[in-house]
Amino acid sequence: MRTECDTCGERMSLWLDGRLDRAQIEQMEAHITVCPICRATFVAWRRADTGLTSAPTVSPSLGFVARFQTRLAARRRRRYVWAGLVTLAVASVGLWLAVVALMAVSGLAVWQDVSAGGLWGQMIDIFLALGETGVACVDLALLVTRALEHGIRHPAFVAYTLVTVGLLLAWARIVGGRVRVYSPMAVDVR
Amino acid sequence: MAVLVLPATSRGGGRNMVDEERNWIACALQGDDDAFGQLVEAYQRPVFNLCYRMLGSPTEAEDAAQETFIRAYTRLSSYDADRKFSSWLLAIASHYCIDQLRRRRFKLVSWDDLPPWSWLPDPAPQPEEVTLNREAKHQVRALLESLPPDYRAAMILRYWHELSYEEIARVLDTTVSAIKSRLFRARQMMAASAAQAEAMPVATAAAGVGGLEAVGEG
Repeated sequence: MRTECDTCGERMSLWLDGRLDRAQIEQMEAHITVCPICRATFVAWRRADTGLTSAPTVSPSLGFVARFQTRLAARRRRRYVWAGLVTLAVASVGLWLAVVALMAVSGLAVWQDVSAGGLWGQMIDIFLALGETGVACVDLALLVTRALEHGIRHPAFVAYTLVTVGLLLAWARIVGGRVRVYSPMAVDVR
Repeated sequence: MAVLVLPATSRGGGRNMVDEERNWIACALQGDDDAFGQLVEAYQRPVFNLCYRMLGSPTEAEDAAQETFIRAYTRLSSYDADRKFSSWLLAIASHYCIDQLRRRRFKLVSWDDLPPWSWLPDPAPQPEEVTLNREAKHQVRALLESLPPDYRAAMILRYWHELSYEEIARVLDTTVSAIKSRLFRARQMMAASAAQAEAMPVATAAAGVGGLEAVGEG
C-alpha cells in the first residue's frame, strides 16, 4: 500500500526536474514539514542534485577530428581487405563448383553415350572425316605439282622466271653495295 | 547548472545553422568525408562528455566517442531527418556505453596480457594516473558509479544535456514513465551512496563537489 512518504518521494524527484505544479509543490512541502524522514531525504537529494548541476562539462583533447578520420580510414581499409578476401573465397568456391558441375555434366553425357553405344559410332565418323580430309589434301598437292610441271614448259613462265631472277640480282647488287658503303666495318681506320 | 552547451544546430539556434547541418548530412551521405568531419567537429563535445560521464575514464571515453562517430558514419543512411541529429548521436553513444559497462562486469583479463611486474607499484605515477586518482575522489563520479548503466545514462542526459523526459525516453528507447522511475530510483541510490561515503572516514569525505577535475573543462 502506498504511503504518503512514497508519494512525497516521487514528487521530490519530479520537483527537482521542474515537473510539479503549484498545488503538488504545496502538498510536498506540507509533508516535508511534518515528516523528518522525508525532510532528510529531501536534503540528501538536494545535495546530490547540487553536486551534479555544478559539475563541469568535459571536452576531448585537441585533434579529436583528426584522430577520428585516421580511425575511420583504418576501419575502411580493414573492411576493404575483408570484402576482398570474401569475394576471393566466394569466387574460388564458385569456380570450383562450376568446374565440378561441368565435369559432372560431361561425364554424365559420355557415360550416357557409352552406355547407349552411340559414342563409338561418332568417333568412327570423326576418324573417317579426318581420313577424307587427308586424302583431299594429298589430291590438292598433286594437282598443284602437276600444274607447275606443265607451267614450267610454257614460254611465258620461262620469261617471267628470267625477269624475276634478273630483278632480284639487280636489287641484291644495289642494296648490297649501299650496305658496304655505310657499314662501319668498311671504314678505313688507319 | 553546468548544462552542456550543444551546438547551435541542435538547440534550434538559427535556420542557417540547421540548414548547414542538413547540408553536411546530405554531403556526408554522398561520401563527402569532410562534411562528416564538420559534424564530428560540431558534436564531439556532447558525445565525449556523455561517454566520459558514463565510463568515468578519459581513455575509454575517447574510444567510445570515436566509436560512436564511426557507427554514426556507417549508419548515416538510416538517420531519420525528422529527428534531431544530436539526439540520434546521443542515442548511439548511450547504447554503446551501456553495452561497455555491462561487458565490463564480465571482462576477464588473461595472465598472458599482463606484464610480469604489473603487480608491483610504480614509484613514478604517470600523468594520466594522477588524473585518474584525482577523478576517483570526485563525488560526482562516485555518485554516478553507484548507479546501474541505464539509470546512469538517464541521469547524465537529464543533468548535462538538459533533455526532457520525453527526449530521454526517445534517446534510450523506452517510455516516459520508465524514465521517471529511473530518475527517482537513481536519486534514491545516489543518496544512499552519499550517506555511505559520509559515514566512511576522511578519504572520501575530503573530496568535495567544488574540486571537480575535467579533461578539458569548458
